Amino acid sequence: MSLAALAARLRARELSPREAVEDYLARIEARRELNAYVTVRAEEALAEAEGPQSAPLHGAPVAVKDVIDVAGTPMTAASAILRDNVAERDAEVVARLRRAGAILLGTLNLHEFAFGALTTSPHFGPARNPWAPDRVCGGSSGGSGAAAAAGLAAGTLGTDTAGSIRIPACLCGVTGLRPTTGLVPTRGVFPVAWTFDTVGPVARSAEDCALLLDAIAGTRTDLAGGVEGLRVGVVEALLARARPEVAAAAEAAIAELGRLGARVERAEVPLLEEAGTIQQLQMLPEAANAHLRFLRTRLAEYGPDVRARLLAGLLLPPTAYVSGRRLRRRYRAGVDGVFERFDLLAAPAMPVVAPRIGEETVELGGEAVPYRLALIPFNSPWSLAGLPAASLPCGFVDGLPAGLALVGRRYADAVVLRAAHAYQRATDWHARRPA
Amino acid sequence: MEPESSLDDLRRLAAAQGVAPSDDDLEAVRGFLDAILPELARLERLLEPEDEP
Repeated sequence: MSLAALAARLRARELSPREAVEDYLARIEARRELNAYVTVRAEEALAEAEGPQSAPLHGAPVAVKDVIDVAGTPMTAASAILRDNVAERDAEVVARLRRAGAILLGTLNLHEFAFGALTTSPHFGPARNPWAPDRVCGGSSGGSGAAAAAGLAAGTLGTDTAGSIRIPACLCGVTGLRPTTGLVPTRGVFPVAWTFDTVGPVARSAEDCALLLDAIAGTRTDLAGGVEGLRVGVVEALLARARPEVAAAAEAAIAELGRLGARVERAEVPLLEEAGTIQQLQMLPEAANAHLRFLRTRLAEYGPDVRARLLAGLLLPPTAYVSGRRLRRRYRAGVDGVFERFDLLAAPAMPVVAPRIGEETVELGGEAVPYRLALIPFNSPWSLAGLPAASLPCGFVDGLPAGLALVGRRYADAVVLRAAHAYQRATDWHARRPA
Repeated sequence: MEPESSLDDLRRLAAAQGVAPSDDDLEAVRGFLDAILPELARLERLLEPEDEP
Protein backbone atom coordinates (compact mmCIF):
# COMPACT_ATOMS: atom_id res chain seq x y z
CA MET A 1 0.00 0.00 0.00
CA SER A 2 1.29 3.46 -0.85
CA LEU A 3 2.06 5.97 1.87
CA ALA A 4 -0.71 8.22 0.55
CA ALA A 5 -3.26 5.38 0.69
CA LEU A 6 -2.11 4.26 4.13
CA ALA A 7 -2.28 7.79 5.54
CA ALA A 8 -5.80 8.12 4.14
CA ARG A 9 -6.87 4.87 5.84
CA LEU A 10 -5.30 5.96 9.10
CA ARG A 11 -7.02 9.33 8.88
CA ALA A 12 -10.36 7.61 8.24
CA ARG A 13 -9.67 5.30 11.22
CA GLU A 14 -10.09 2.24 9.00
CA LEU A 15 -6.78 1.13 10.48
CA SER A 16 -5.05 2.07 13.72
CA PRO A 17 -1.41 3.18 13.89
CA ARG A 18 -0.69 0.16 16.07
CA GLU A 19 -2.13 -2.19 13.45
CA ALA A 20 -0.05 -0.47 10.79
CA VAL A 21 3.14 -0.76 12.86
CA GLU A 22 2.44 -4.42 13.66
CA ASP A 23 1.87 -5.14 9.97
CA TYR A 24 5.18 -3.58 8.96
CA LEU A 25 7.08 -5.27 11.79
CA ALA A 26 5.72 -8.61 10.58
CA ARG A 27 6.84 -7.82 7.02
CA ILE A 28 10.30 -6.82 8.21
CA GLU A 29 10.61 -10.06 10.15
CA ALA A 30 9.42 -12.09 7.15
CA ARG A 31 12.01 -10.49 4.85
CA ARG A 32 15.02 -10.40 7.17
CA GLU A 33 17.13 -11.98 4.43
CA LEU A 34 16.98 -8.68 2.52
CA ASN A 35 19.02 -7.08 5.33
CA ALA A 36 17.29 -3.77 4.65
CA TYR A 37 17.34 -2.63 8.27
CA VAL A 38 20.26 -2.05 10.61
CA THR A 39 18.06 -1.36 13.64
CA VAL A 40 14.35 -2.10 14.06
CA ARG A 41 12.69 0.03 16.77
CA ALA A 42 9.90 -2.49 17.41
CA GLU A 43 9.07 -1.62 21.02
CA GLU A 44 9.54 2.10 20.54
CA ALA A 45 7.41 2.18 17.39
CA LEU A 46 4.61 0.23 19.05
CA ALA A 47 4.70 2.62 22.01
CA GLU A 48 4.68 5.64 19.72
CA ALA A 49 1.68 4.19 17.88
CA GLU A 50 -0.36 4.48 21.08
CA GLY A 51 0.14 8.23 21.33
CA PRO A 52 -1.74 11.04 19.59
CA GLN A 53 -1.08 11.23 15.84
CA SER A 54 -0.91 14.33 13.71
CA ALA A 55 -1.61 15.15 10.06
CA PRO A 56 -0.80 14.50 7.31
CA LEU A 57 0.74 11.09 8.03
CA HIS A 58 -1.52 10.09 10.98
CA GLY A 59 0.81 7.41 12.34
CA ALA A 60 2.19 6.00 9.08
CA PRO A 61 5.31 3.89 9.76
CA VAL A 62 8.45 5.10 7.99
CA ALA A 63 12.17 4.40 8.23
CA VAL A 64 15.34 6.41 7.65
CA LYS A 65 18.83 5.65 6.42
CA ASP A 66 21.27 4.84 9.20
CA VAL A 67 23.21 8.08 8.90
CA ILE A 68 20.20 10.05 10.15
CA ASP A 69 19.96 10.46 13.92
CA VAL A 70 16.92 9.04 15.69
CA ALA A 71 17.12 9.84 19.41
CA GLY A 72 18.03 6.83 21.53
CA THR A 73 18.68 4.64 18.48
CA PRO A 74 22.05 3.40 17.17
CA MET A 75 23.42 5.47 14.28
CA THR A 76 26.10 3.23 12.84
CA ALA A 77 26.49 4.48 9.26
CA ALA A 78 26.95 0.73 8.56
CA SER A 79 30.49 1.17 9.87
CA ALA A 80 32.60 -0.57 12.48
CA ILE A 81 33.74 2.82 13.72
CA LEU A 82 30.24 3.93 14.76
CA ARG A 83 28.91 0.46 15.64
CA ASP A 84 28.30 1.48 19.27
CA ASN A 85 27.20 5.05 18.60
CA VAL A 86 23.71 5.97 19.85
CA ALA A 87 22.07 9.20 18.67
CA GLU A 88 21.33 11.63 21.48
CA ARG A 89 18.61 13.56 19.67
CA ASP A 90 16.60 13.49 16.49
CA ALA A 91 17.97 14.87 13.27
CA GLU A 92 15.93 17.83 12.09
CA VAL A 93 14.30 15.72 9.36
CA VAL A 94 13.27 13.09 11.92
CA ALA A 95 11.79 15.76 14.17
CA ARG A 96 9.86 17.06 11.19
CA LEU A 97 8.66 13.57 10.25
CA ARG A 98 7.37 13.09 13.78
CA ARG A 99 5.58 16.46 13.69
CA ALA A 100 3.95 15.32 10.43
CA GLY A 101 2.63 12.22 12.20
CA ALA A 102 5.15 9.58 11.14
CA ILE A 103 6.24 6.71 13.36
CA LEU A 104 9.89 5.66 13.04
CA LEU A 105 10.22 1.93 12.43
CA GLY A 106 14.00 1.96 12.41
CA THR A 107 17.15 2.71 10.50
CA LEU A 108 18.11 1.35 7.11
CA ASN A 109 21.22 -0.29 5.71
CA LEU A 110 23.61 1.66 3.49
CA HIS A 111 27.04 1.65 1.91
CA GLU A 112 29.53 2.28 4.71
CA PHE A 113 29.40 5.97 5.67
CA ALA A 114 27.18 6.62 2.63
CA PHE A 115 30.35 6.65 0.55
CA GLY A 116 29.72 4.15 -2.22
CA ALA A 117 27.00 2.85 -4.53
CA LEU A 118 26.61 -0.82 -3.55
CA THR A 119 25.33 -1.18 0.05
CA THR A 120 27.62 -4.09 0.73
CA SER A 121 29.01 -3.05 4.10
CA PRO A 122 31.77 -5.41 5.24
CA HIS A 123 30.53 -4.80 8.79
CA PHE A 124 26.75 -5.18 8.43
CA GLY A 125 26.44 -7.27 5.26
CA PRO A 126 24.84 -6.50 1.92
CA ALA A 127 21.29 -5.30 1.48
CA ARG A 128 19.68 -7.57 -1.09
CA ASN A 129 17.58 -6.43 -4.02
CA PRO A 130 13.94 -7.52 -3.54
CA TRP A 131 13.67 -8.20 -7.29
CA ALA A 132 16.61 -10.62 -7.22
CA PRO A 133 18.25 -11.26 -3.85
CA ASP A 134 21.58 -12.18 -5.46
CA ARG A 135 21.81 -8.61 -6.76
CA VAL A 136 22.75 -5.33 -5.10
CA CYS A 137 20.26 -2.63 -4.17
CA GLY A 138 22.57 0.13 -5.30
CA GLY A 139 23.58 2.76 -2.85
CA SER A 140 24.43 4.33 -0.81
CA SER A 141 20.79 4.34 0.41
CA GLY A 142 20.35 0.68 -0.54
CA GLY A 143 18.30 -0.24 2.51
CA SER A 144 15.89 2.57 1.67
CA GLY A 145 15.43 1.20 -1.83
CA ALA A 146 14.97 -2.35 -0.59
CA ALA A 147 12.51 -1.34 2.15
CA ALA A 148 10.42 0.76 -0.21
CA ALA A 149 10.35 -1.97 -2.88
CA ALA A 150 9.53 -4.83 -0.49
CA GLY A 151 6.96 -2.86 1.53
CA LEU A 152 9.02 -2.85 4.73
CA ALA A 153 8.05 0.76 5.45
CA ALA A 154 5.36 3.02 4.05
CA GLY A 155 8.06 5.47 3.02
CA THR A 156 11.75 6.03 3.65
CA LEU A 157 14.39 8.72 3.70
CA GLY A 158 17.79 8.41 2.09
CA THR A 159 20.63 10.80 1.49
CA ASP A 160 22.19 11.79 -1.82
CA THR A 161 25.60 13.35 -2.31
CA ALA A 162 26.42 11.98 -5.76
CA GLY A 163 23.51 9.67 -6.57
CA SER A 164 22.80 7.82 -3.33
CA ILE A 165 19.01 8.25 -3.53
CA ARG A 166 18.63 7.91 -7.29
CA ILE A 167 20.80 4.80 -7.71
CA PRO A 168 18.91 2.54 -5.25
CA ALA A 169 15.55 3.97 -6.30
CA CYS A 170 16.35 3.01 -9.87
CA LEU A 171 17.83 -0.41 -9.18
CA CYS A 172 15.04 -1.36 -6.75
CA GLY A 173 12.17 -0.13 -8.95
CA VAL A 174 10.89 2.63 -6.68
CA THR A 175 10.73 6.42 -6.82
CA GLY A 176 13.35 8.66 -5.25
CA LEU A 177 14.00 12.37 -5.22
CA ARG A 178 17.29 14.12 -4.58
CA PRO A 179 15.94 17.53 -3.53
CA THR A 180 17.55 20.82 -4.46
CA THR A 181 20.74 21.16 -2.42
CA GLY A 182 19.91 23.20 0.67
CA LEU A 183 16.14 22.67 0.55
CA VAL A 184 16.09 20.05 3.32
CA PRO A 185 18.05 20.56 6.56
CA THR A 186 20.95 18.17 7.15
CA ARG A 187 21.46 18.81 10.90
CA GLY A 188 21.85 15.45 12.63
CA VAL A 189 22.90 13.63 9.44
CA PHE A 190 26.42 12.23 9.27
CA PRO A 191 28.05 14.12 6.38
CA VAL A 192 29.68 12.84 3.24
CA ALA A 193 30.49 16.19 1.65
CA TRP A 194 28.72 19.21 3.08
CA THR A 195 28.33 21.23 -0.08
CA PHE A 196 26.62 18.36 -1.93
CA ASP A 197 24.72 16.48 0.79
CA THR A 198 20.94 16.25 0.60
CA VAL A 199 18.23 14.27 2.41
CA GLY A 200 15.24 13.08 0.40
CA PRO A 201 12.47 10.54 -0.02
CA VAL A 202 12.60 7.02 -1.43
CA ALA A 203 9.10 5.59 -1.72
CA ARG A 204 6.66 3.85 -4.02
CA SER A 205 5.51 6.80 -6.06
CA ALA A 206 6.00 10.47 -6.78
CA GLU A 207 2.88 11.16 -4.73
CA ASP A 208 4.47 9.43 -1.72
CA CYS A 209 7.72 11.30 -2.29
CA ALA A 210 5.80 14.57 -2.32
CA LEU A 211 4.19 13.71 1.03
CA LEU A 212 7.59 12.97 2.56
CA LEU A 213 9.29 15.99 0.98
CA ASP A 214 6.59 18.32 2.26
CA ALA A 215 7.05 16.86 5.74
CA ILE A 216 10.83 17.38 5.82
CA ALA A 217 11.17 20.53 3.70
CA GLY A 218 8.08 22.44 4.76
CA THR A 219 7.01 22.72 1.12
CA ARG A 220 3.46 22.32 -0.19
CA THR A 221 3.88 20.38 -3.39
CA ASP A 222 1.02 20.69 -5.87
CA LEU A 223 0.97 17.61 -8.09
CA ALA A 224 -1.95 18.78 -10.20
CA GLY A 225 -1.48 20.18 -13.68
CA GLY A 226 0.36 17.43 -15.54
CA VAL A 227 3.09 18.08 -18.07
CA GLU A 228 1.08 19.96 -20.70
CA GLY A 229 3.35 22.59 -22.19
CA LEU A 230 6.42 21.69 -20.14
CA ARG A 231 9.61 21.80 -22.20
CA VAL A 232 11.55 18.57 -21.68
CA GLY A 233 15.14 18.35 -22.88
CA VAL A 234 16.40 14.86 -23.67
CA VAL A 235 20.05 14.36 -22.71
CA GLU A 236 20.97 12.18 -25.65
CA ALA A 237 24.59 11.88 -24.56
CA LEU A 238 23.37 9.81 -21.60
CA LEU A 239 20.99 7.74 -23.72
CA ALA A 240 23.98 6.85 -25.87
CA ARG A 241 26.02 5.82 -22.83
CA ALA A 242 23.38 3.48 -21.39
CA ARG A 243 22.83 -0.17 -22.16
CA PRO A 244 20.56 -0.16 -25.27
CA GLU A 245 17.65 -1.92 -23.55
CA VAL A 246 17.81 0.54 -20.64
CA ALA A 247 17.99 3.49 -23.04
CA ALA A 248 14.98 2.12 -24.90
CA ALA A 249 12.94 2.00 -21.68
CA ALA A 250 13.88 5.61 -20.92
CA GLU A 251 13.07 6.70 -24.48
CA ALA A 252 9.64 5.06 -24.23
CA ALA A 253 9.01 6.96 -21.00
CA ILE A 254 10.06 10.23 -22.59
CA ALA A 255 7.74 9.51 -25.52
CA GLU A 256 4.94 9.02 -22.99
CA LEU A 257 5.67 12.46 -21.53
CA GLY A 258 5.32 13.77 -25.09
CA ARG A 259 1.95 12.06 -25.48
CA LEU A 260 0.88 13.68 -22.21
CA GLY A 261 1.56 17.11 -23.66
CA ALA A 262 5.21 17.88 -22.92
CA ARG A 263 7.30 19.48 -25.65
CA VAL A 264 10.25 17.16 -26.06
CA GLU A 265 13.48 18.30 -27.71
CA ARG A 266 17.12 17.30 -27.70
CA ALA A 267 19.32 18.97 -25.05
CA GLU A 268 23.07 19.34 -24.75
CA VAL A 269 24.60 20.03 -21.36
CA PRO A 270 28.00 21.78 -21.45
CA LEU A 271 30.82 19.96 -19.63
CA LEU A 272 28.55 16.96 -18.99
CA GLU A 273 31.47 14.56 -19.46
CA GLU A 274 33.59 16.52 -16.99
CA ALA A 275 30.97 16.86 -14.23
CA GLY A 276 32.04 13.65 -12.49
CA THR A 277 35.65 14.71 -12.19
CA ILE A 278 34.69 18.20 -11.05
CA GLN A 279 32.51 16.75 -8.30
CA GLN A 280 35.22 14.34 -7.18
CA LEU A 281 37.69 17.22 -6.80
CA GLN A 282 35.49 18.71 -4.07
CA MET A 283 33.61 15.74 -2.68
CA LEU A 284 36.68 13.69 -1.81
CA PRO A 285 38.52 16.41 0.17
CA GLU A 286 35.31 17.37 1.98
CA ALA A 287 34.72 13.73 2.92
CA ALA A 288 38.33 13.35 4.09
CA ASN A 289 37.92 16.45 6.22
CA ALA A 290 34.68 15.15 7.75
CA HIS A 291 36.47 11.89 8.64
CA LEU A 292 39.81 13.35 9.72
CA ARG A 293 39.53 12.30 13.37
CA PHE A 294 38.80 8.70 12.36
CA LEU A 295 41.45 8.66 9.63
CA ARG A 296 43.98 9.60 12.30
CA THR A 297 42.88 7.12 14.91
CA ARG A 298 40.87 4.27 13.37
CA LEU A 299 42.03 3.98 9.76
CA ALA A 300 42.16 0.19 9.70
CA GLU A 301 38.50 -0.08 10.70
CA TYR A 302 37.19 1.26 7.39
CA GLY A 303 36.27 -1.08 4.58
CA PRO A 304 38.96 -1.00 1.87
CA ASP A 305 36.94 0.88 -0.76
CA VAL A 306 35.83 3.65 1.59
CA ARG A 307 39.32 3.93 3.09
CA ALA A 308 40.83 4.35 -0.38
CA ARG A 309 38.38 7.10 -1.33
CA LEU A 310 38.91 8.99 1.92
CA LEU A 311 42.69 8.78 1.57
CA ALA A 312 42.41 10.02 -2.01
CA GLY A 313 40.60 13.06 -0.65
CA LEU A 314 43.29 13.53 1.98
CA LEU A 315 46.09 13.41 -0.57
CA LEU A 316 44.71 15.44 -3.45
CA PRO A 317 46.65 18.69 -3.79
CA PRO A 318 44.88 21.57 -1.98
CA THR A 319 44.69 23.56 -5.19
CA ALA A 320 42.60 20.76 -6.72
CA TYR A 321 39.76 21.64 -4.35
CA VAL A 322 39.89 25.30 -5.33
CA SER A 323 40.03 24.43 -9.02
CA GLY A 324 37.03 22.19 -8.44
CA ARG A 325 35.09 25.06 -6.91
CA ARG A 326 35.95 27.34 -9.80
CA LEU A 327 34.98 24.67 -12.33
CA ARG A 328 31.75 24.01 -10.43
CA ARG A 329 30.69 27.64 -10.85
CA ARG A 330 31.45 27.51 -14.54
CA TYR A 331 29.53 24.23 -14.88
CA ARG A 332 26.51 25.61 -13.05
CA ALA A 333 26.42 28.66 -15.28
CA GLY A 334 26.32 26.36 -18.31
CA VAL A 335 23.49 24.28 -16.84
CA ASP A 336 21.54 27.43 -15.95
CA GLY A 337 21.78 28.33 -19.63
CA VAL A 338 20.26 24.97 -20.58
CA PHE A 339 17.36 25.60 -18.23
CA GLU A 340 16.56 28.85 -20.03
CA ARG A 341 15.31 26.55 -22.81
CA PHE A 342 13.85 23.73 -20.74
CA ASP A 343 11.72 23.13 -17.66
CA LEU A 344 13.01 19.60 -17.22
CA LEU A 345 15.82 17.40 -18.45
CA ALA A 346 15.24 13.67 -19.01
CA ALA A 347 17.69 10.79 -19.30
CA PRO A 348 18.12 7.20 -18.15
CA ALA A 349 18.50 7.28 -14.37
CA MET A 350 21.24 4.63 -14.56
CA PRO A 351 22.96 3.01 -17.53
CA VAL A 352 22.42 -0.56 -16.31
CA VAL A 353 20.22 -2.74 -14.13
CA ALA A 354 21.37 -4.04 -10.74
CA PRO A 355 24.57 -6.13 -10.92
CA ARG A 356 25.07 -9.27 -8.87
CA ILE A 357 26.54 -8.93 -5.40
CA GLY A 358 30.30 -9.21 -5.80
CA GLU A 359 30.41 -8.06 -9.43
CA GLU A 360 32.72 -5.08 -9.72
CA THR A 361 32.15 -4.32 -13.39
CA VAL A 362 29.17 -3.91 -15.69
CA GLU A 363 29.10 -4.39 -19.45
CA LEU A 364 28.61 -1.24 -21.49
CA GLY A 365 29.30 -0.94 -25.18
CA GLY A 366 30.87 -4.37 -25.23
CA GLU A 367 33.39 -3.46 -22.54
CA ALA A 368 33.63 -4.27 -18.85
CA VAL A 369 33.41 -0.94 -17.03
CA PRO A 370 33.88 -0.50 -13.25
CA TYR A 371 30.37 -0.22 -11.80
CA ARG A 372 31.04 3.00 -9.88
CA LEU A 373 32.61 4.72 -12.86
CA ALA A 374 29.69 3.70 -15.08
CA LEU A 375 27.24 5.43 -12.75
CA ILE A 376 29.06 8.73 -12.16
CA PRO A 377 28.08 10.41 -15.47
CA PHE A 378 24.40 9.77 -14.72
CA ASN A 379 24.52 11.31 -11.25
CA SER A 380 27.22 13.92 -10.82
CA PRO A 381 25.92 16.30 -13.51
CA TRP A 382 22.82 16.99 -11.43
CA SER A 383 24.44 16.84 -7.96
CA LEU A 384 27.17 19.24 -9.07
CA ALA A 385 24.62 21.84 -10.11
CA GLY A 386 22.51 21.34 -6.95
CA LEU A 387 19.45 20.40 -9.00
CA PRO A 388 16.40 18.39 -7.92
CA ALA A 389 16.54 15.02 -9.65
CA ALA A 390 14.13 12.09 -9.47
CA SER A 391 14.45 8.49 -10.52
CA LEU A 392 11.22 6.73 -11.38
CA PRO A 393 10.56 3.21 -12.66
CA CYS A 394 10.07 3.06 -16.44
CA GLY A 395 10.40 -0.60 -17.37
CA PHE A 396 12.24 -3.86 -16.87
CA VAL A 397 15.33 -5.32 -18.51
CA ASP A 398 16.12 -8.98 -17.80
CA GLY A 399 13.36 -8.85 -15.17
CA LEU A 400 15.10 -6.03 -13.30
CA PRO A 401 13.93 -2.41 -12.95
CA ALA A 402 15.16 0.40 -15.16
CA GLY A 403 14.62 4.05 -14.31
CA LEU A 404 13.98 7.45 -15.86
CA ALA A 405 15.69 10.54 -14.47
CA LEU A 406 13.79 13.82 -14.43
CA VAL A 407 15.82 16.88 -13.47
CA GLY A 408 14.51 20.35 -12.73
CA ARG A 409 15.72 23.87 -12.03
CA ARG A 410 17.00 24.60 -8.54
CA TYR A 411 14.02 24.82 -6.13
CA ALA A 412 11.66 23.51 -8.82
CA ASP A 413 11.35 20.19 -6.98
CA ALA A 414 7.56 20.42 -7.34
CA VAL A 415 7.84 20.54 -11.14
CA VAL A 416 9.92 17.35 -11.10
CA LEU A 417 7.44 15.59 -8.85
CA ARG A 418 4.45 16.88 -10.83
CA ALA A 419 5.89 15.47 -14.07
CA ALA A 420 6.75 12.18 -12.36
CA HIS A 421 3.23 11.98 -10.95
CA ALA A 422 1.69 12.64 -14.36
CA TYR A 423 3.82 9.86 -15.83
CA GLN A 424 2.83 7.48 -13.03
CA ARG A 425 -0.85 8.25 -13.51
CA ALA A 426 -0.49 7.19 -17.13
CA THR A 427 1.66 4.09 -16.55
CA ASP A 428 1.95 1.30 -13.99
CA TRP A 429 5.67 0.57 -13.78
CA HIS A 430 5.80 2.10 -10.29
CA ALA A 431 2.94 -0.13 -9.13
CA ARG A 432 4.71 -3.40 -9.94
CA ARG A 433 6.11 -5.19 -6.94
CA PRO A 434 8.63 -7.99 -6.51
CA ALA A 435 7.28 -11.41 -5.59
CA MET B 1 52.17 17.27 -7.82
CA GLU B 2 53.26 15.24 -10.83
CA PRO B 3 51.02 12.41 -11.99
CA GLU B 4 53.64 9.81 -11.05
CA SER B 5 53.38 10.29 -7.29
CA SER B 6 55.83 8.23 -5.27
CA LEU B 7 54.59 6.24 -2.31
CA ASP B 8 57.10 8.02 -0.09
CA ASP B 9 55.75 11.41 -1.14
CA LEU B 10 52.22 10.29 -0.38
CA ARG B 11 53.25 8.73 2.94
CA ARG B 12 54.94 11.98 4.01
CA LEU B 13 51.90 14.02 2.99
CA ALA B 14 49.61 11.71 4.96
CA ALA B 15 51.93 11.76 7.97
CA ALA B 16 51.96 15.56 7.95
CA GLN B 17 48.19 15.34 8.47
CA GLY B 18 48.48 12.74 11.22
CA VAL B 19 47.43 9.75 9.12
CA ALA B 20 49.47 6.55 8.64
CA PRO B 21 48.23 4.53 5.63
CA SER B 22 49.64 1.14 4.62
CA ASP B 23 51.51 0.61 1.38
CA ASP B 24 48.43 -1.09 -0.08
CA ASP B 25 46.34 1.98 0.80
CA LEU B 26 48.89 4.25 -0.82
CA GLU B 27 49.05 2.14 -3.96
CA ALA B 28 45.29 2.52 -4.33
CA VAL B 29 45.53 6.27 -3.85
CA ARG B 30 48.38 6.55 -6.32
CA GLY B 31 46.30 4.80 -8.95
CA PHE B 32 43.48 7.25 -8.37
CA LEU B 33 45.76 10.29 -8.43
CA ASP B 34 47.51 9.12 -11.58
CA ALA B 35 44.11 9.01 -13.26
CA ILE B 36 42.61 12.24 -11.96
CA LEU B 37 45.58 14.64 -11.96
CA PRO B 38 46.03 14.71 -15.75
CA GLU B 39 42.28 15.26 -16.05
CA LEU B 40 42.53 18.07 -13.52
CA ALA B 41 45.34 19.66 -15.51
CA ARG B 42 43.18 19.54 -18.64
CA LEU B 43 40.21 21.07 -16.85
CA GLU B 44 42.31 23.83 -15.28
CA ARG B 45 43.18 24.98 -18.78
CA LEU B 46 39.48 25.77 -19.27
CA LEU B 47 39.51 28.26 -16.40
CA GLU B 48 39.73 31.99 -16.93
CA PRO B 49 41.05 34.43 -14.30
CA GLU B 50 37.49 35.66 -13.69
CA ASP B 51 36.35 32.14 -12.73
CA GLU B 52 36.37 32.56 -8.97
CA PRO B 53 35.68 29.79 -6.46
